[in-house]
Amino acid sequence: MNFEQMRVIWNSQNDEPLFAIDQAALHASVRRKSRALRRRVFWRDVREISIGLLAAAGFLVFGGMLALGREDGWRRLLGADVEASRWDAVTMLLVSGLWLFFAAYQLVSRMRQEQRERRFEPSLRGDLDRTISQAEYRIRMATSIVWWGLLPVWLATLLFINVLVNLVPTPPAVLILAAIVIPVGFALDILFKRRPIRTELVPLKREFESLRRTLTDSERRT
Amino acid sequence: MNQPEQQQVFDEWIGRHRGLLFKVVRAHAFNPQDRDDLFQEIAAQVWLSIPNFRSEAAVTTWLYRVALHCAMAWARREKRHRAGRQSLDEQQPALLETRMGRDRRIDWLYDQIAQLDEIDRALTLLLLDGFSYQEMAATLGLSQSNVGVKIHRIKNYLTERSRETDRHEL
Repeated sequence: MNFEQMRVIWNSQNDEPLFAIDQAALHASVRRKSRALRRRVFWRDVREISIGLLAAAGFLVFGGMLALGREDGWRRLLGADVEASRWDAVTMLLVSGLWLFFAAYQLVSRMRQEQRERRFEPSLRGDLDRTISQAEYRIRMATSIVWWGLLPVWLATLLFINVLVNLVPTPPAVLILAAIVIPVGFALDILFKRRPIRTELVPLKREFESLRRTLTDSERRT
Repeated sequence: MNQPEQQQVFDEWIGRHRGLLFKVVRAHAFNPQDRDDLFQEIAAQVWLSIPNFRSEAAVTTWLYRVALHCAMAWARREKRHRAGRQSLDEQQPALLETRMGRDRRIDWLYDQIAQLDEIDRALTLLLLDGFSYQEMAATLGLSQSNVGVKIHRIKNYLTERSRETDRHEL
């Protein structure tokens, strides 16, 4: 059988397709898969950016009220019986700034990545490059989030607790518990963020790099 | 593009070019469940990519690109997850295998295509479907000269394999 004969046989599939599509099941599947993807992207954005922005706004209001001497409502809420100092107000504004930095870091990184992805050519090679770039971005984020994301948030939490301790008499046991729980939580969060690097992202990146190499190696040999 | 428009484009393209998608599916998935799974995956990717379609590309080359990339990613993901997964998702299958018109020579061709690496596999599908060197180069992101060299090798390989195979089998 020569190649032209193979092509004729191949084209016969067009006359009698070997599969039929169940249109209703296909629509249901497409709706389900695209909804799942949108939900995943939405929650990722909410988790990584909106939480930072909401926390920054909340602490800004708290700090602003302390700075303006209108902390009665907060003091009643917290059961505090001491006046807030100017330093408490400044600390709360700093906490707000740290959360804002966390949200801005995520947002700017995401925007940069979107910009990077726009320059890939519209071909299979470009699609492979985009997938590799996305894996690299997620690896970079999972690595750098510790210093540029989690550390500021951890610091913000410590400062917030410091203000609460100033405003509300706190038993030493609670302070000791906080001193244990916060660093442990921080360490667990780091492990949680870094786990996909080893289990998912690096293998994915390697596989697509090997596919990409198949393309470029053959190009070099020509 | 609103959702009814997107739905209309999707139905039209899937209806008109389903043969192309079936070929990609059959070249990458080797049992009915996997074929159905991959076909649904490709259909979902086509649906999500429709708003990004630029009319300067031909629909067929664009669909080939989306389907091939999706099939390669699916194959890699499946390889990794297969070990830990017992059963595939129990949704209603979207792809129904028809028994009529089965040609053993087509099965043989798919068997040969399955032996190739993913890039050669993609090139063979495009080649058999009659795409020009220029279209193949643009779809895969290769130079035309490289496409030429690879196609020469693929043609030789397939012809050689066909010679080696018992004529009675085909």
